Amino acid sequence: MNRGRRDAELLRVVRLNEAIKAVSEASRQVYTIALNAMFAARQSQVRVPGFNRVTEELRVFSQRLDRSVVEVGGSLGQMVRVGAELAKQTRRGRHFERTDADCRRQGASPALLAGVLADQRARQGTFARLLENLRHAVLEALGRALRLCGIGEQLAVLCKVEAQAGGANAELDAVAVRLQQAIAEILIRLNGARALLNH
Amino acid sequence: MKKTTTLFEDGDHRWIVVARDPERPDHLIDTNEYLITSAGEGLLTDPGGMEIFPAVFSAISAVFDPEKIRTLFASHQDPDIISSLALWLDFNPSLHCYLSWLWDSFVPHFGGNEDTFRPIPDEGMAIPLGELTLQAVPAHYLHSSGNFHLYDGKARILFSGDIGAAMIPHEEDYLFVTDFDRHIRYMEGFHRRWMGSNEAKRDWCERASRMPIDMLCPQHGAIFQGADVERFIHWLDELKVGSGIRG
Repeated sequence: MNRGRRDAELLRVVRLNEAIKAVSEASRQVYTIALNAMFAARQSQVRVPGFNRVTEELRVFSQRLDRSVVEVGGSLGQMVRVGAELAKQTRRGRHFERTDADCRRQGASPALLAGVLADQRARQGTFARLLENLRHAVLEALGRALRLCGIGEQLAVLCKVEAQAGGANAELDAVAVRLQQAIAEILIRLNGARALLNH
Repeated sequence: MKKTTTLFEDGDHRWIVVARDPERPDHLIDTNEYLITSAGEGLLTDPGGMEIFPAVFSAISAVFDPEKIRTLFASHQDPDIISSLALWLDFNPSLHCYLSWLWDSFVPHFGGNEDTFRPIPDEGMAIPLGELTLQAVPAHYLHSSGNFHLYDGKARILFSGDIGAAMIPHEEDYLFVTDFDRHIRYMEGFHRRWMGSNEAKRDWCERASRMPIDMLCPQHGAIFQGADVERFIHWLDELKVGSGIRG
């Protein structure tokens, strides 16, 4: 195993990006499950108007969540790019700092690399600020997605209630449980992403 | 940001090309990086120079988890091939880099330590990736004196480094060769000057013509598919290279 210094910031952004990709996948699953639920309700013999209404709402919810996740993903894509740029500048900065220390040991004036070091730090500062601004934008977008998920959670509960009210149809009940699980999964991932961002 | 295009997909066995950055400054040569994935692991060929690291890294992260890239393959030692090595190692210090044994004490000037490099002997070697075994194919003196291509027998794709490279103008920035005769103008000068040995070129053409290849993927320019692969090998076989000798 190599013993290099790992770029923790870039790694964090990448892990966040992966978490959001998983949310996007899960939100598409909610759409598919809700769609299948509507077909299942249509095929069942029992009258389940309330269930149909809620699954329709869940489809709308999953589309809104998908749009919200796309918004987060867009800012995260920029964060990965800026994070990679910051990694590049940080490595350059380390090279110049090492060179500066070596030059001073050889008796060179501290002024020799002062300008280069100041420029390099300014560049790093620019990308660090940009990354921080993007972090705030992603945090806000994640907050919106989480609030949306709160609605989804309530809809999933309603779906289960309506499935049972519609004659305790086992198939509809199972679909409602799957919806609840899918939304709970999204909530866990979104909260995980927010924790990663706040770390 | 660079764009990604999937060239081959069979389950999670994929070839993805990372190419064409609209924000790339003109003074940097355009490069193609290829991400090969199998069983959740990734290998990146010729990851590129330090300057383009942000563009390559961010494009890949949109389609594949960069943490799962465990291996780099460097066809040779040039800066546009592997000068981003230190940055990839900053991200994942346990990465391994396969390259010709000839360069395993030169390329560490870009970064890495004694654990990083997997030297490839002159005759080539098998490189494991997930459920695949890729083959490092010798291409010495084309153009570098220690030079390898990478062959995936299952996908029938050959990553051919600088062989097949073309300098396509911005306004004709196509990713796949569709008009071979017209494409020649963008690759002829490059091959005449950069390839130094007619003997090495003939030897490569003979070997390549015996390999089943559906796609020939160079590090610069456009990708050859189907009948154009054979057409290219014949064209290269006929070409006199080493134009620099004549001054």
